[in-house]
Amino acid sequence: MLTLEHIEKSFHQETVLHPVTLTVTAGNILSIVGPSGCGKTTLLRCVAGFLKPDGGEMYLGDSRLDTKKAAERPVVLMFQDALLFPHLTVSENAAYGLRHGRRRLSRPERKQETEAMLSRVGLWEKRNHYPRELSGGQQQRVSLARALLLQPDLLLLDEPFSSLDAHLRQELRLWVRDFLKEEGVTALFVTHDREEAAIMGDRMLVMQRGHVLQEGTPEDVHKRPAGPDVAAFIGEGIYLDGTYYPGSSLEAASEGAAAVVEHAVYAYGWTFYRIHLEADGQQTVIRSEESLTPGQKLAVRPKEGVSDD
Amino acid sequence: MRKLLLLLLLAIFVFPVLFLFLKSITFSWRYPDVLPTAFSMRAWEALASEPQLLPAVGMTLFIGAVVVVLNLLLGIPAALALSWVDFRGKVAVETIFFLPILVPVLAIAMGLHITMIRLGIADHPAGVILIHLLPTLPYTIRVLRGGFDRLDPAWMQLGETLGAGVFRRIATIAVPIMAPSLRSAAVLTFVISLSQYVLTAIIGGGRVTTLPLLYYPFFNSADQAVIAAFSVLFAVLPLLFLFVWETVSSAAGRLLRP
Ligand SMILES: Nc1ncnc2c1ncn2[C@@H]1O[C@H](COP(=O)(O)OP(=O)(O)OP(=O)(O)O)[C@@H](O)[C@H]1O
Ligand SMILES: [Mg+2]
Repeated sequence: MLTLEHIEKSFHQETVLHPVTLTVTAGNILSIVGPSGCGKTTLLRCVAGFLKPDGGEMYLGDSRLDTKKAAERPVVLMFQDALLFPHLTVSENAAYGLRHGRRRLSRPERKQETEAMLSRVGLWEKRNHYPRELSGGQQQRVSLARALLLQPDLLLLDEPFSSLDAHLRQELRLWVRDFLKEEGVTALFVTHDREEAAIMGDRMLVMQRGHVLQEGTPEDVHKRPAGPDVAAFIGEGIYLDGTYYPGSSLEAASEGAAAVVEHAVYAYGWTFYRIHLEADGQQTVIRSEESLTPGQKLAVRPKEGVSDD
Repeated sequence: MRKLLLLLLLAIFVFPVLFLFLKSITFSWRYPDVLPTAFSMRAWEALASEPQLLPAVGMTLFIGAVVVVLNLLLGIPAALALSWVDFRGKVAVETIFFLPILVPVLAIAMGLHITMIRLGIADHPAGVILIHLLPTLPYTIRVLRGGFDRLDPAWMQLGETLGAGVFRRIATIAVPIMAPSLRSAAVLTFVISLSQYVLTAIIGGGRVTTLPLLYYPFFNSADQAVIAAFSVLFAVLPLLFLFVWETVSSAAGRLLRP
């Protein structure tokens, strides 16, 4: 179990992390999501040991984490890029930590574990290739194999899919999530994509400007946002007179809150419309039987007799 | 394309050496013969009988090796700072590092000579080694800087998060990735040091005898075969250096492969 207590960090008087407190229970994945620049990478680098927090404490299991040097923490950070070593083959890359890192094994053990892991990530045939001969997704899989061979108590992932194209990203997300769950890895997963956060995390944490806005299951965060800021970031529903309404409980009507259509969204066989309120710019997505055009004005109101669930 | 390049390399580097070698063992080679008609080892015997030759080769190799080591020791931190660190006045510092190549080295050497006499390292290999840094270090810094530009610091951090200590990270990540730059810098330095005549003559005061100091006077003798033999010796030394460098670095590389 990972526990962060009141972790703070500033750069030149600019506070990037206001005291952040969170826990991840063993074997679970916590997604951290928030807009660009909110301090996600800074937080991960503090946990990995590349940055020294200005205050607070970190524990992994029973032992204090933040007093150890980065190389000695039982934690592996995976960067946005796969960062495979260009002078080593796929299997040498994967085995790096078993030869030079925290978990040194004898040559035969190394070979056996590396080959088993490469088979599991589906790259055994490529074991003697060099990284430049692999696709971006394959490189990230080798990078994951290299990290997991160390059997870290905690895996940190900083937007590992953001350099991949949308199709591959979607495929790899699911694959990595299942793989991590199978291996029982405790992980912090950082992304700026709320959909990705919901897919990857058992729980998700919404951050903004260095503050934790909400922590909960993806369903909680989507259906019961902790406030207008979370609702605005999630973009699935709006507050009307202080009550939260998800898009599914709203309908276009002749009277209600004035709104403007932004664009249509085609998904899962339905047509949705992203709208924003004229009054305060809150955004949500509604379904409408009649076809709407961008820029069109309309009014929305809560559907009769529908609860917010 | 690769073949063409190889052919070009052969033509530029190997052919002249072969030609010189041929010339050095030639007894008679006159127009219109394509190849020499009579051979003799006379020129090599003349070289071998030169009592100063072996000590001079030894001194040249010693000075060259120390100059290479010093170049790397001084060049690596300088290049690292220029490549990875942002600081005020970087352009000025870069220009100063390159100055010894832009300003006639002779002028600087004259001034340094006086200082070295005071320090008591003139007429001594130490002084020669120091003065050889002048025409070599600027190139080393340039070349290594290019190497550091290609070495993403994130690779080193990745080694750290995988649990490798700082020396391991340097030996298994930084050095292999920078190997081409390190090799270029070392060979360039060695060759430049090897061919210094004037600087060695001034600072060494004639008492530090390196190969060029023996070589240039030989030009006065009209014996072309002997000059050719000497030149071959000159050309072989950098190859020898490169061979030793490659052998050692590939052995170290194999030892550290995961
Ligand atoms: N080394 C540093 N020195 C100064 N300021 C920094 C440093 N690293 C980050 N910052 C600042 O801290 C803030 C948070 O940066 P951080 O990289 O943690 O954001 P992020 O949430 O990871 O964003 P993104 O989604 O774009 O990766 C930014 O305003 C950034 O400018
Ligand atoms: Mg980031």
